[in-house]
Amino acid sequence: MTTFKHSLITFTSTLLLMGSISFPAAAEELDEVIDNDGSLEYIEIDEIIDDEDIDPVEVASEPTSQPEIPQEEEEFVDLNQILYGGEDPDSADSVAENKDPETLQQEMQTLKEKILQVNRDLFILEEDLLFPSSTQVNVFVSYDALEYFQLDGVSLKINNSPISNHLYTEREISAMNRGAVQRLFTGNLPVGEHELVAVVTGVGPGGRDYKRAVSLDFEKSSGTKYIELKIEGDDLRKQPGFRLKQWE
Amino acid sequence: MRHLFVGCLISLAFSFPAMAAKPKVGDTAPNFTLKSNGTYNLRLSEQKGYVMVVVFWASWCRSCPVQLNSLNALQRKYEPYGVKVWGVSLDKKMEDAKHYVEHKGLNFTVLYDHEFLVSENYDIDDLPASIIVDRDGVIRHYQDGFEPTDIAKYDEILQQLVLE
Repeated sequence: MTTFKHSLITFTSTLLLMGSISFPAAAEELDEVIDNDGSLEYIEIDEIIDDEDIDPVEVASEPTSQPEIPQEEEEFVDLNQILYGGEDPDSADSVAENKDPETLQQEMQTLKEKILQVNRDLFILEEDLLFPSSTQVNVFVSYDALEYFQLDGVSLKINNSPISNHLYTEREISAMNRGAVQRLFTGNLPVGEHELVAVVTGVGPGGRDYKRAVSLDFEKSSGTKYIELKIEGDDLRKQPGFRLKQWE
Repeated sequence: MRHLFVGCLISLAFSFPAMAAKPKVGDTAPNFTLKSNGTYNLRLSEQKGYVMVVVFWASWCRSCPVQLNSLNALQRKYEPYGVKVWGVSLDKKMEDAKHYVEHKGLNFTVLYDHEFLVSENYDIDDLPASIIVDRDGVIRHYQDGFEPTDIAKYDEILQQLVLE
């Protein structure tokens, strides 16, 4: 028992001796952390990481939380290219200051024409998308019967389904009487047999209310279909005439 | 019972999108074309350049005469300055509206919305309801109902719009 106690004391003293040799460095670090006044100093985590010697290969090999997305080349529209034809806007301003008003006016006019052209192209493109020629049906109205008939409204039905109901104003009647043709309806129909009914209302000879219906059976083929509702004056009968005509 | 409830829900879901939203001040006035008491049909979009006062009314409406008489007076006052008053009648029979206008001696243009297409588009709940549209076709004033004291407000608005 005495031998055991002796060996225990020896072991403990050895441990204490080793501790006093191996821990001074840590004790110095602690002294650095603790200020003279005894308060704790804040150390940023980045400083700690920087201090540590970490193999960059190991860091690179660590799996990242988010997978890397391959960067695509960004496509962008250069507004300067559109507005100033690729010139620097500042330099364009300085050029504009030097130009005389007439030149600027001409350039403005050219720009307006270009905008109108683009607008027209967009309209055609939109129409092509909404109404492909394979299914497109158009109904036009022409009117040349002012002496015998004052047009009030036109209702259209295709295959017994109402598709359009239009009331005409004085301005429209005046324009149509001068030769304008109105596109009353544009829509889509499948290939095959169809029936179009147009009901025309207005004021006839003698100021009487007038209502007439005309119908047309037509076949829709793969091309665009054009149908015209013609309202004409019949000089012999002194009456208005209504008919539907197909255009190819 | 469950099927009935689901059916109601579906019908409600489909019915709401069909309802037109009430136009707000600052919006472009929804366009319409209606038969008028004149020779030709009239279209709102063709009246750009005029200050338009559009009042929705009906011959059976008890509170409409006050506004109609007031607007009749304002029409006379501001007509030379490019102000037009349109009374959109919601009578099912055009004859009722015609008779009323003749009886009351109203001078403004009357339009017939007997199918309620325009009043539904404008989401008219109460009569009379009126909107004032500026020369660019933008709604500048909207009002449900009318009090006799409102005529001064309308006078002021029209004066301002005429000067713009």
